[in-house]
Amino acid sequence: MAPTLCELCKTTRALIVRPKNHQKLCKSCFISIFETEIHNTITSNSLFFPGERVAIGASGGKDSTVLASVLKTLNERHHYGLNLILLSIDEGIKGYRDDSLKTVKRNAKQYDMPLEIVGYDELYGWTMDQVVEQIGKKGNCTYCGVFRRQALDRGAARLDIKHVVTGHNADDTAETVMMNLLRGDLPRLARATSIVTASAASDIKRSKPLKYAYEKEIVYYALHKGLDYFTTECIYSPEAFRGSARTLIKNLEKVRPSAILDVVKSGEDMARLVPDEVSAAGQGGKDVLVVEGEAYRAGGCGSANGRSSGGEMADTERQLLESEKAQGNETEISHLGQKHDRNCKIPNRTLRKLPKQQMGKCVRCGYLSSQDICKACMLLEGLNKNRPKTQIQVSVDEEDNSSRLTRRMESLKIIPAEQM
Amino acid sequence: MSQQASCARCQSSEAELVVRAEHLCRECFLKYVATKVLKRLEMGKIRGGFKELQKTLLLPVSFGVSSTTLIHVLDQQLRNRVQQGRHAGYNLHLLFIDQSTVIAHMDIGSYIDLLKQRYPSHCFTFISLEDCSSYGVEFKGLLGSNGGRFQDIVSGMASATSRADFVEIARRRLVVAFAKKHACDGILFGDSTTRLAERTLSETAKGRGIAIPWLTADGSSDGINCIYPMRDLLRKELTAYVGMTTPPLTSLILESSTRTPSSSKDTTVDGLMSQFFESVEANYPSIVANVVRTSGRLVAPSVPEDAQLCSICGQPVFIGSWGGDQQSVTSSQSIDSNGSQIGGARCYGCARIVLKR
Repeated sequence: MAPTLCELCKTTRALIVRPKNHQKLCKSCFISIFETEIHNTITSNSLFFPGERVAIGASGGKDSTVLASVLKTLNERHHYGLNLILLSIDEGIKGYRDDSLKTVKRNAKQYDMPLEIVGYDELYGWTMDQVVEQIGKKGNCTYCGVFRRQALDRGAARLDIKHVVTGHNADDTAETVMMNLLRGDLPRLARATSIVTASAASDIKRSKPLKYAYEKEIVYYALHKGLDYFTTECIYSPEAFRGSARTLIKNLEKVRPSAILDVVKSGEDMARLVPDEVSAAGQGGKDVLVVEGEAYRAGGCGSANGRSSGGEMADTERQLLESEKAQGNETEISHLGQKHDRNCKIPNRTLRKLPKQQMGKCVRCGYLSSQDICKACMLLEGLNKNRPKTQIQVSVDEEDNSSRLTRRMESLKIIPAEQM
Repeated sequence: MSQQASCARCQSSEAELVVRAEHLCRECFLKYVATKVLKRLEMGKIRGGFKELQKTLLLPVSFGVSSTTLIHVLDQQLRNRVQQGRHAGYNLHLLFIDQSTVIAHMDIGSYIDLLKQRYPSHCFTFISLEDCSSYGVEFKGLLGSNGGRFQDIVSGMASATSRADFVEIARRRLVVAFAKKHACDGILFGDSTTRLAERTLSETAKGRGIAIPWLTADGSSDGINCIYPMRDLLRKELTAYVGMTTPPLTSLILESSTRTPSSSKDTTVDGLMSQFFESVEANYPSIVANVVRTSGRLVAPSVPEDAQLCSICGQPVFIGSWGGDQQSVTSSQSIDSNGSQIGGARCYGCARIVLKR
């Protein structure tokens, strides 16, 4: 039997079945079509302008490594005139980030790009390992997500860069659409699918050039280009909602390969169906419960693989039940006990306008925030509340080494009484 | 359980089941279900008033727990009204659409006989998906759509997902066409909370996110008033209900044969969502309800007057190139990958149906 020929060049033997549409391609045609599609995404959305300085959020993982490699290639091939810089976040997760940062450092040399590293410890005084030590394995993704978003912005600000690109792929986007539907989060459903996120109040623009690229194709690209990337995923498990959305997306892809893109398409369309008063305000509206929590994912968060605890879903379930019960107990009291006149055109209840989200600056750190105190500072306040106790104990006898000892004290576990 | 809890509502009878964290006895549970259904019906403002003509409401029957419960509850209400010497403002017209030419079914005849025996006062019609063309429901541009049999169109489709999606679309269009032809004032769809949540995610997965308000919300859709009176009831609640009525409705329930396909080739997007929500419903029923409330807040898009309608699903087609095609801006012309002549506009979701892979 003659070998199957590539469907595009029809001369070379096909070696790759494209995950996206099962097209059979040879290696070089796959690489070329993958790059061309990203180029089309960039040009049709006018993501960049000539001379722009762009920071690539680099985690050392496959997505951001492929993003850096493709952007370098396209920048040279199509003369974008971009000045590309790698920007890495050190969350302070031992056995994960310290190793992946080595990869980023090698990438910086390979791609001849400057590298800037911003650490959670220098920005917030906490590493993720310390955060997990304090709050446990449940719910720590919230901290990491909020911290990372700010950290990328601050890193960019430090470099005087106005545009950060991240390695979010089509699978991530589809997952977010499903997750927001499951959590009843309409404001995020309205926001999460856009390729560029920039608010009038922010001066740092975010974009996702790989938004339509399949995760599997990103892996193939990295493999066939022989890219140097770090494969271990974050050791802390993701939230249950994200976990079940991810499993769902992977199962859908097996049944119908186009499903990932189809979900992204639906997500973009549904964003237009979210009423303005909901997308502008940070709330779900009167009868929808919005689950606060992990919302951002910039490359590098762990995979589900059934490791999620489900605690977050159980919490939501309980909250929903309570609000359902409360609604059942509500009795509408009308004015003077009058019945609503059937012919009256005015509705019984005038709709309450939701407050518009107004962006200002955090009074503590000066970071962009819709509240007086930004999310990161709120989280930090909670974390720091429990910290002084240990600090006092330590600094009593050893003033000089207090900071190092503080850290040592934090790593001590308090054993519950019944286990002693 | 060491001690039997008493019903949280009547405080007198022994609780038989737990509904949304509340212990209920049989009587109170039956009342709970009926109230949820009738309340929705009232909210739909679909009944005729006392001085108006009685409205005719079409109720598509599938012999599942949901539509069967719906018939039962409404039939009870109508009977009570007659006993009181009043009318309820509406009549029911039951419609069964036979899918046996495309989906394997057990002998449906005996179920229909049982249904007619038990609910004799309502008009009942039996039609088949093969009758689509006689109701003016056509699928231009599909292989075999030119005078061919419906089952030939279905068998020409490349995947189980496409076939299931298409059958669902055809069924809905046929229901709507039937309702219009018989001058019905509205359609009462039997979809439960669980089914509506499934549909929300399933249509999202099939690229039909834009159509979700038209496919799940109460109100005018496809030019007729569509109401979903079962939207506040979970499938597991309805499964409990059909076993508790006197006599039980269980003999009217056709077990769906599409639950778990034997081969992965037969797995469909719709089937996957059913499985997914089965597990979510078991542990987190309120999350299921929250999905439906959330999709209920989406506002149907405004349709331009000159919008073309999709030749397969009949929904408006929103033209414009999409970033996800990743084509260069100059070459974004859609190609009919089915190889057949272009038979009119196609929406995104229906373009997927005809794809070879």
